[in-house]
Amino acid sequence: MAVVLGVITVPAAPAAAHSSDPSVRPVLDAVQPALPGVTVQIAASVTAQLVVANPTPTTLSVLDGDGQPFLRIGPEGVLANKSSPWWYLTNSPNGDASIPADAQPGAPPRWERVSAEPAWGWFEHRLHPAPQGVPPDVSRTHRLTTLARWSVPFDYGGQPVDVSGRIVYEPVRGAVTTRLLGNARPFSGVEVQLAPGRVPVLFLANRSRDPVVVTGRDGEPFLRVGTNGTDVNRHSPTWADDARAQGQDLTAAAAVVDPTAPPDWAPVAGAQTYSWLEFRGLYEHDRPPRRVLAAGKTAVLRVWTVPLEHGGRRVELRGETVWKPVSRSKK
Amino acid sequence: MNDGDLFCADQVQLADGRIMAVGGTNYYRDPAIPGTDLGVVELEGLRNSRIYDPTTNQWTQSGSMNYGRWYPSLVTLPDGKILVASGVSKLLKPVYPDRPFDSGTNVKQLELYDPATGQWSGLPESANRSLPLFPRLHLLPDGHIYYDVAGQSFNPFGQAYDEAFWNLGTSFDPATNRWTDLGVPGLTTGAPDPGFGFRGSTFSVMLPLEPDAAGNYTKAQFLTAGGTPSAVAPSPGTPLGTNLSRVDTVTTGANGSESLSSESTGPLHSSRWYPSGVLLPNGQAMAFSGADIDEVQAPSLGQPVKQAELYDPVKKTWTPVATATRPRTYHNTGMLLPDGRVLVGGHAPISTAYLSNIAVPGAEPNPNRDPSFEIYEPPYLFAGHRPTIGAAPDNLGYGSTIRVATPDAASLDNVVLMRNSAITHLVDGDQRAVKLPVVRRGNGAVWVKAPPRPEVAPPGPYLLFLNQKVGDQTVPSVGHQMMLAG
Repeated sequence: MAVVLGVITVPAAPAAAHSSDPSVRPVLDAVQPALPGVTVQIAASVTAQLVVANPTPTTLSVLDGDGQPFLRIGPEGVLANKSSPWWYLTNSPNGDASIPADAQPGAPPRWERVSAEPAWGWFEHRLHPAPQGVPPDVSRTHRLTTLARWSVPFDYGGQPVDVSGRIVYEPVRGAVTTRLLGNARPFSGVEVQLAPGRVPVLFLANRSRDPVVVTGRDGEPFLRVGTNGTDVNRHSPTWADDARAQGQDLTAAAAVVDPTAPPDWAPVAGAQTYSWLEFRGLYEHDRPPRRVLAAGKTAVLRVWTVPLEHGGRRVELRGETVWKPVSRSKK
Repeated sequence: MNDGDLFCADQVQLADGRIMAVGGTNYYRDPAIPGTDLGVVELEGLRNSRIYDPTTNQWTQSGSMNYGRWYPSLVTLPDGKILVASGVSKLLKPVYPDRPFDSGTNVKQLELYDPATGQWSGLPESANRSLPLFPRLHLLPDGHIYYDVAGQSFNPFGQAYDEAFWNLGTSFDPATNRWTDLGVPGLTTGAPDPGFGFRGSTFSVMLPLEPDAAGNYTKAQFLTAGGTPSAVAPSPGTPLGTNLSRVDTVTTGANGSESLSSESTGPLHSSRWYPSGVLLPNGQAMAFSGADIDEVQAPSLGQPVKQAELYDPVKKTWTPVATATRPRTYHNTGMLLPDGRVLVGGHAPISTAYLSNIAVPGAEPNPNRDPSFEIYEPPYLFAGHRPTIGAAPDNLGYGSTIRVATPDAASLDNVVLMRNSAITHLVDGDQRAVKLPVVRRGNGAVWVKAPPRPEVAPPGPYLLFLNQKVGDQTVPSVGHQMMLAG
């Protein structure tokens, strides 16, 4: 009897800014002219940040809405124009900042070093869409749509530079699901549960007299859950990764990882239950392949198995990592 | 002196009645882009702990934690020490699916504060545990700390890659510094509960502890309702608040074993994210405030929920009651007053769409902070007769029997001891109520037995209430302030 423990993960937002609506975000299209050696990126944050690294010998200035510089990034590190209101506003996620009385538009610049490194990130409010939401005629298309355009002017050693992009609507088209197939009770007295997350967690409870041995990704004994509690095989690379994932860095570092070696069992819990991050169920990408997105159908992205042994019997827990598109009703 | 921003700290009442606030906020610049040294404005949890003494109206700085924590949770242990868990040192955590170990996570290390020395000490690595921000933690009557599968996912993005652990009910043993997983609530038997697993921004209220026939406290029950369920879509998941309600029960066996069972109750009348939960002295519970959607994902773009709801623990149903006057969503709070009324207050939403405090038509009517308070009067205050406490001791020792003078001795239904509230962000790690056995009723007094040991009720300030049935209501007295100590 198949038991579907359907769990869903939403694809992580791409490495671009995030607004309050996860389907609306800024994208960077161009830096014109190109600046070799200079990195310009949009950073995900509580709201969009523009991040610039300029290790070149030429100073780069970031200009405000009136064409006045409020940041300088270059060989001297980062200099802030403390007479510019924009300096203060760009340090706040929502542009809600206290501006000193002597910081006025057009005031004589007062440069002050704020970082020794030639890199800075700031809350660039020209990247932030107005909070009116996505127009209904756009959201009905369920397609990538440009809502607005933005532009931030730089000056690079006296040369004007235009950094530009768009605010786009990209609907959530589905989610990645992990599910465990087969019997949630693979042996009498043994229960397995799958907990949802980016990396799923498997929970195993063994109320029987015989121990359950969980096999790791390299075919090695990984866990043993029995009446005396739970042991781990300190030679198991699967356990070493799980230990590190659970904050057991010192313990993992001290292990001699060798999946071919005889198991070195060590107790980790006095209970007949244990849970672990099951990396075999992880889908490493933010999105499924284009062909899967285009097909608009449920698709298995990955099949994974976790072998269990109990009382001389071997059962393979079978799991699937699946793309489930959002269903849309047709009129 | 209070050095450090209290913003997003947790708080707890010490055994002597002083208040300690732990953690807090600082902004700094930190590399955040993978593989580069690019600087990004970042939010940092503080290591600070500071103590407020209400008798002197003074703050003092106490020892610093080893880890900065923003949105941690505190729990008082039976010996009066304070356990801290989770929080985040760096809020904007990068998540790298292809190399998860480089990803940021919440603070997994646990630390212990000793009020006698004012110092924090780290627990061994075996105590490390991935937990959400403001994890809902409770002291069990066997002395373990139970995580009730709820917390706050402050994550429009950048969620922790190990967040699947947040779905597991788990119990921490301070004696062995190890966690024992008990299972995913709602998946333990039968068909999966639709609201199984983790729920973001719901409250977790411990229902009254009751002794069994032998006088032992072996069962603890926790009520959660509302929030955003993980089963539909984990963090950040769905922004929609739910009306699902559940009671999780941890039962301890004679050999120290623990088991977890879960039961769905009747749903809330209104789906709501971020409701405040308040236990009343008569065993009922209430849900106040919140919004229809997660206003961390969609700041000030939701609809506030102003109507309160009342939970009946016998019928296991929620009933809508009075509607508050003001909308209160993110950072709303609610707490029981000694006279049996409830203080409801606060409202500090994130600026609309993270940009500015403007009201969007059809959405949150108040995008600004509201420092006001309101008082709610539960139905039991209108039932008629109210029992009274004529006299009772101000101090209570474990296992002792005390005399409570009352003209209602013959007609009392039960007597309950409730810990004074210390709540923030829906969390009060020491919230508990303990029904005390009535050992004798006399002319003008009852004799009740104090909790047998600190695992049942850790040392500190409590309110004693007498409960009496009046018609279809169970009516509490005004609370009598007591200090419980060894």
